[in-house]
Amino acid sequence: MNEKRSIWEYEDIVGRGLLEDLESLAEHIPGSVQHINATYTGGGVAEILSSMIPLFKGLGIETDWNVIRGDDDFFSITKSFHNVLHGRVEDAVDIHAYKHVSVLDDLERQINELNQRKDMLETYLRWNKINSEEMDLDYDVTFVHDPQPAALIDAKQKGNWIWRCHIDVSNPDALVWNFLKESVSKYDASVFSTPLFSRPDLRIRQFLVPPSIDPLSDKNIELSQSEIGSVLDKYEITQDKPIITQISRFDRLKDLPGVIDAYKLVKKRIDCQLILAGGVAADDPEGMGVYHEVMKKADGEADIHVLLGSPPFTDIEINAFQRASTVIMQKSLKEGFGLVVSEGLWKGKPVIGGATGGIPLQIINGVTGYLVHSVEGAAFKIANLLKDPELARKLGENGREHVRNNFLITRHLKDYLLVMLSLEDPSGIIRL
Amino acid sequence: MDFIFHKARYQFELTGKKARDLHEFLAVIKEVNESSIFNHIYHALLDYHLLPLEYPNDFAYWIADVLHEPVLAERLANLDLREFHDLEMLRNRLINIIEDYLAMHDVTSRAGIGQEFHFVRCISVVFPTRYAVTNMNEALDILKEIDLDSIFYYFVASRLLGGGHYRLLSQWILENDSHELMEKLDNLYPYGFANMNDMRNEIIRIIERYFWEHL
Repeated sequence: MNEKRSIWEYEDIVGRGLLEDLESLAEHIPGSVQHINATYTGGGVAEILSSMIPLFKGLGIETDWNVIRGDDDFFSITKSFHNVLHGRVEDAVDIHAYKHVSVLDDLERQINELNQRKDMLETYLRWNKINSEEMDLDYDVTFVHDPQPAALIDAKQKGNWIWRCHIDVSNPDALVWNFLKESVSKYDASVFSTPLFSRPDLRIRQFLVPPSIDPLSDKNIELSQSEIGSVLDKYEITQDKPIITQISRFDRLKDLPGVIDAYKLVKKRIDCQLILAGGVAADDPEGMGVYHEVMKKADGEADIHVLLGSPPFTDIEINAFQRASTVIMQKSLKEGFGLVVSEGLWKGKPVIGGATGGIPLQIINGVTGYLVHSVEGAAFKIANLLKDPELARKLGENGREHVRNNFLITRHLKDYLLVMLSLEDPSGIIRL
Repeated sequence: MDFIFHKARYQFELTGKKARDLHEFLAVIKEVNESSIFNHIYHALLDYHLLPLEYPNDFAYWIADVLHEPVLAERLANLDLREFHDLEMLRNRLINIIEDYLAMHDVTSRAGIGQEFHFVRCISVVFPTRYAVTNMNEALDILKEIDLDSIFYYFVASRLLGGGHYRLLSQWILENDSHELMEKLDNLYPYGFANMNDMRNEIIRIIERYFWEHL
């Protein structure tokens, strides 16, 4: 990825002040910067880096983005790491098998399981070592994103190394975290999205940098009414009644049945329609099951549009669904940061969400949307917003300003520059 | 002599300290880094873009929202920040308010998992802006257009957290023979303004009135 992007393309959105500051800060960045993660495409980290790297370059900072390689075993292991660090213990039976062994189990089985676990950790370390031997790690600042490449730190040659954790590791599986912590503790600093996702047992510096959306990406750029209309036509959705939308994977933790129940309560009083649009994660064996359950619950009702993106929806289509909506939902039972909330708010839509993960940082209750705890609560708030367009407009306007000030890629870029500069002096006041 | 306006941007860093109840909260208040006290009390001044929130600082908000102690929250929300010329004075006042409250009330509520108060400190990165002036008239014009981060830096952050630029501004104004004006600006201590825009307007009003009186 060699292209540069000028920060000044964002001037109409964020104003001159921040952009001038970015230029001032960038002048003091010491030397070259590298970002390392596991993939160039797919997922939130790749999406952010796709926007971020050209802006680093546009500021005149020598920046490279590299990804690690590995075989299927390696990525299967790191996926399992991800899930258990994120609290989905049920997805990592292989890693945990040894813990469930009773003293009465036969010795051979215990040895096999311990060997299997040892093999997994060795596979993880072996691929990190292979990558460290193949990659150029001679940079002044190295950002390593998430657990997959974390052990590259063992090959550190120079400069500051920062572990950027995008996932919630506040309640991890102890075995995997303790293994990962051995690597992470060798970094100069770490970065978490919110205090809620951080670790009390990590002794290195922990900076806070929330994630962001790119207002100029296809997922968020302004669309004309005809562009929105053509997407709705493609999926046979009319615009003659208000639309409630939730964009999310078909995953139990997104509470799609709860969204349908809330919609049905509202529908008794106000004519409206519901869009549930998302995909099924390739590594989630439950995804299609959840999709079929949702289809069954929708029961063929014409105004419930259950849309399975296969092939995946384009970013423009997601953008159009959100922009066509009157109210956006993110009624998750458990969530990471939930950046899709900021996508909705940026489009000037009030968002109703569950009070979990990073959602309360984005939905300020009663200001940019509503935090709800039940189907009835969600229905009540949806109905209020459908009945009171002025209220919906005001919350949407507040939400857009909240995102403008807190969750855009330019603020994210500023924070990374500040983190790099903060490492130069631990005193707390850095004079440039 | 030219005066170059500076500003600061802030990066947030976990202190590693958190509290689940009022006793733990008090214990951390007694020892946490000054920049964490500053951050949780003052950063809302820069959140000028949102509707006014019920409580103007993080401490009051958490005590009301999580510990459900609205009386204590209101006392912390109504701190008269004019009283505090440094952060140690402010810290001591916070301690007194909480200890007095604990002496009179049996506070047993405890935050659930994920609702703890995380103490966060701010790192100030200070740098020059493109604004340079040679006299007070030019300075007044710049104050009208410079962004609010600069106003916050000079009149709030650099006075309390350090950085030295408020002192440099004072010296420059004094060199421009405006001792009386500097006294008036010094008396802006408290930060009894709803947001930084209100504070900017008050600074401009003070300077314009001074100019008018000294025509």
